[in-house]
Amino acid sequence: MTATTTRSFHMDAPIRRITFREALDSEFAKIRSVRSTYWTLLICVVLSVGISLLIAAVTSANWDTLSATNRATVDMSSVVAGVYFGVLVMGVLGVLVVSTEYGTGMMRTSLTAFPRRSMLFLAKAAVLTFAVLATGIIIAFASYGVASPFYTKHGVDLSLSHGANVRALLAVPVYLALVALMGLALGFLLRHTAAAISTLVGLFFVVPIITNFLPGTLGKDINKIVPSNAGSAMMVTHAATPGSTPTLSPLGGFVALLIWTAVLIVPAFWLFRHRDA
Amino acid sequence: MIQATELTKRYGTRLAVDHADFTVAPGKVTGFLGPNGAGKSTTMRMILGLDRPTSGSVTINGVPYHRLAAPLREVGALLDAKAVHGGRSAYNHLLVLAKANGLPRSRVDAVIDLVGLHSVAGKRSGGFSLGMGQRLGIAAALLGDPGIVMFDEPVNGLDPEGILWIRNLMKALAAEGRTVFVSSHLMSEMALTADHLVVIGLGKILADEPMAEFIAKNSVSYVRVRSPQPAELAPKLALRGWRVERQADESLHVYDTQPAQIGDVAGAEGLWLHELTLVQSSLEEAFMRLTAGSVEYHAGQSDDQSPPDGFTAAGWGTPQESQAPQVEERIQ
Amino acid sequence: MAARDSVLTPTAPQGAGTGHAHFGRLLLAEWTKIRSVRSTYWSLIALVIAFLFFSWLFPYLTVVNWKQASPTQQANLYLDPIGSITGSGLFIGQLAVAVLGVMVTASEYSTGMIRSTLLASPHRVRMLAAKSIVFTLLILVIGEVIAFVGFFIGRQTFKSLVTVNLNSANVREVFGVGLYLAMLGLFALVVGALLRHVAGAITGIVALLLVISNLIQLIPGRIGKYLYTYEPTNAGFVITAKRLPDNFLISSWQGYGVFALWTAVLWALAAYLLVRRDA
Repeated sequence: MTATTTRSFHMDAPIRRITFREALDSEFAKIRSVRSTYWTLLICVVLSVGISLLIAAVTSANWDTLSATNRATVDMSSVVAGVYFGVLVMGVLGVLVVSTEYGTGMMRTSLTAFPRRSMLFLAKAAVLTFAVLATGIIIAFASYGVASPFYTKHGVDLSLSHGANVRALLAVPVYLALVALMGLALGFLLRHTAAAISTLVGLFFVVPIITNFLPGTLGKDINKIVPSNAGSAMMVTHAATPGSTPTLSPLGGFVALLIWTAVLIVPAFWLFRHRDA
Repeated sequence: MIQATELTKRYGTRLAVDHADFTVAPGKVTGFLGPNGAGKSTTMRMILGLDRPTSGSVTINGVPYHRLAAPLREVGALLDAKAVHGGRSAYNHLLVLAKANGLPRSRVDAVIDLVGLHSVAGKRSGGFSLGMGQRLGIAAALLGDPGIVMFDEPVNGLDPEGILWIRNLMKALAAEGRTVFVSSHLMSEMALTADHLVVIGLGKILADEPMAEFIAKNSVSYVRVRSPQPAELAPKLALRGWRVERQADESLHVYDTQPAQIGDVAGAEGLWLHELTLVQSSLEEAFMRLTAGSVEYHAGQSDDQSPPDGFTAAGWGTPQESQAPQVEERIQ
Repeated sequence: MAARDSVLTPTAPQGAGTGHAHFGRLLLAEWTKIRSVRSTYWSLIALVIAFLFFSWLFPYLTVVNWKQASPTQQANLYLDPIGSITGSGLFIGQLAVAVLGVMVTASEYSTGMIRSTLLASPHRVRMLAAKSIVFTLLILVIGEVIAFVGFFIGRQTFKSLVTVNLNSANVREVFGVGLYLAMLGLFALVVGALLRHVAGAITGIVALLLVISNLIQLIPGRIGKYLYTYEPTNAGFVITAKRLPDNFLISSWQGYGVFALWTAVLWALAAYLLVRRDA
């Protein structure tokens, strides 16, 4: 750095109004340029696929001890069982994409560069969704690759010519993406990493414990629609077996999860637009 | 140009910015001064659209911030150099901002070279020293080659070479016709850099005028006279209607006049003169006088509101600005 | 030099204390830190409310659903009524304790407070010890209080179905709640000190408590049994249980000992790294 006069650094290009495209470019550059993104996605893949593999191996080894009812419940959702763990990790990614900006004060810098808050929110959500969908597809098909042989050798029908099986596999990235968006919404709402993650954990792991024991048909209905159960329902292909906990249909699960995501995102969006930075 | 009209921000019962009216014009360096907690940062955040005013408005070239076509092309701001993601490299941090406004990568390289961060551009910004972080913030402000530049404490953490550099940079930017708005506590630096001053205290604008005028209005200057015959000289000067004060070291402080006139009197009376100096207030003294009543957060020793040394004899002097009585009212 | 007050003498500095006085001051400092932060109150309130609420709710639902309950479920209740009282509260309470434990150390790094802390207490291991003692005692006290209060709440709720009395055999189940929570808190504190990253540490501990400790059960054979038994949170949890889980290889106090050993080893590692690493 010299102490002499500054060099000329003028920009001659005309000023072009910033659009959603610029917000997308910026958000994409943001998510790509921090290590935690890669760590999180990698951990999610390794653990989701690994756990799916583990469960497949164990179930296969114990096949003879399973009752007929239990065998009937083994389907594509078992192949991707590791996703029940991956969900937590993707939710955390959604939280971090927002909460670290608040934590470091970067959110103010971002808002001075791109003050159009609605677009900024949507761009963040879009980039996150893309990253999680892509990773989710990898998780789904990798799980299928490593885990399905353990099941097909016992005669479980996992062929991809059946629409239901394909639907269940594709439900994985969708489930992960919606939960990531819920994490993003919590990040905007609470603006605090630990609080948002705790809420996510509470919603996904604690609430089902309570609702599982609620009495009566109302209780059973409430249990069906909690986010984790709604999400799991999306990946089920077998028919309901007698005596098992009632769940939503796969489409019902998808709609319920969409509603949950909207319930969090709408206030988050509104607050982001109106609160002081 | 930045224009604030009746700008107000209330947090609960606390009025942080109180109907502020001021203009920051292009072609000069405007200093934004005020005690801690006076409302400087709040005002700057409202200018940038980060906080919503309770009432009133502030515009950049006539438009509110969020309606600017490409904000970084028109306003570059350094508010808080630490407001970066520590895990991101300096280069990527600037790239993220550049992309947000459609600026080419060449701009990132240009500002990195300008502030001298070339050797550490690829390192994560969390490991930067205070000075390096500051330079990164300055780089971000200049990324879009903006016509308006806003700096909050830019010299914080810079070494002497850096301080000289930023001073010259701000002056050069102003000379190019840009608007430069700088907030700082470093009076000595401000005195060397700013052409125009906006002073805020307890949320209210206390002054919005050129530097020289500000100093003249808020300070009292006098002529220091040393003579081997002070006892004879003093009454002759007093006779002319000028206030004369005799100091402990036998020098005289003469108010309300110019050195030339005193020299004429001494010459006419046949008296000797050894020193004849016009002593003017520094910016610091002027600032302390104007804002003494509106300091919200005092350090322990200066609980009394008495003005700094040099004015004890004259008391508060003769403030001519109508705002000064309002300052007096606020003395608890 | 003349005995004149310098600018700095409003409070004359005390001489450096003896070893004991110094550590006492460290303890006080850590206690002040912990009780002056909002997240402490949120976590503790969540812990207390959740635990007491579930100590009531689960028994209540069991009573309400008694007629629909299967014979196995009914047998389970008579076999281990205290487990029914404390089980669900503990499940949630442990999450609150784990989050708080992580934040006590990890957030010092994220806020940069660690530098002030280490300036004030350059003996880093002593600082960690003071922090550990203060936090563990806090959780232990609160844990025991809610354990017994929760027990009485649940006992009251169960009155119509079964009478539950404390005796020397089952008091461990109640007392163990506080013991487990305190050790878990310390374990989380240590993990926070090792990882120095709030989100990562919370995710890791939650994953350990909720997911990994259960999935380990699936691993077959002798190896599976060892892994299941010696996994820290599983090992520690049995102190609150009446019956040992099927694959569990050691006694409940031995299990708690394993948990304590894990925590001690990790604590030593954290202390070592604290000294070696830059702040």
